[in-house]
Amino acid sequence: MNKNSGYEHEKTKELIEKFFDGNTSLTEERQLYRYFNGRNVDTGLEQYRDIFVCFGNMAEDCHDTSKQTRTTVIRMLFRTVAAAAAVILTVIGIARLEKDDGKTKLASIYSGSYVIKNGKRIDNLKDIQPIIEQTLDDAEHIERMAGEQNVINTAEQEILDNIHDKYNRERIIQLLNN
Amino acid sequence: MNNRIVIILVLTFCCVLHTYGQNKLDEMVEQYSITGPSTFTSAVERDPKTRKVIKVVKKLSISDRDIPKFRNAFKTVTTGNLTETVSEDKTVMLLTEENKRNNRIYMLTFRTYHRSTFLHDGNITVIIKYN
Repeated sequence: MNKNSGYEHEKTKELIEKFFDGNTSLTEERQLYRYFNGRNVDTGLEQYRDIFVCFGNMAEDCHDTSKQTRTTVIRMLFRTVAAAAAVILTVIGIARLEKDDGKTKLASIYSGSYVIKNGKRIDNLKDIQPIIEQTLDDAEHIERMAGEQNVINTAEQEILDNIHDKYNRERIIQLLNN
Repeated sequence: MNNRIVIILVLTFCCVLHTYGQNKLDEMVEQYSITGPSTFTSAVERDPKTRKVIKVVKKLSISDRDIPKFRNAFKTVTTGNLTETVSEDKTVMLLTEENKRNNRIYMLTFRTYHRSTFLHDGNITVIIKYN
């Protein structure tokens, strides 16, 4: 045994005592694990080999586990953010689809409609929708009126067609026009 | 041969005359919508399934001084049925025309003050219903 190995042996013994007292730093513990994992373990310290090899393995696992935990957390966070982004995009997409669907519906019924106000033309169907609907409602009313008027005209004409006397015809025409 | 030419010319003239009144009114409405100080609405109603045009409704407000011009245009239409309803303060002129392609209704309304010559609040509505 040379001086160095003797020094190392004494140093290791101190560290072992310190270890069992719970006073070793992480660096010192790693020194012990390295020592007992090596080939040149002093025969006087051989009895501690199994213990420190085991402790050394456990420490590695913990280190790996914490690494793994960090990786897992990051992965989970990433997945959560990705899922949230997907939900938000889906909601925005549905909202836009509904908006486009509304536009498509309007266009399918009123496409081609427009308003000119004081020389300015407005084509936006959404903006002019109330005006279009009011105009079409008014048109229905006019159509009914025109229909009724046609019926009246037809009836009057039938009456006049059946009056052959000139004087009476003129009288009836006057009555109808008053 | 000469007779044939005359007949063709007469028929052509009649066809032109037939559409003249109606076209004149349509042209006046279109022109006025662009140049006049007015509000013009062109509403198109379509079949939502086929997108085919069912009805076109045009509504035009006209200024007081232009009412006589449109009134005369109504009276010069030689085809269709024209009725004029005059009440205390309002006149309604209704012109209806039917053909194979479409039915048309033209309506001119304006107000008069106690049947005076002062005319105001003129409006024209054109309804084209496609068969």
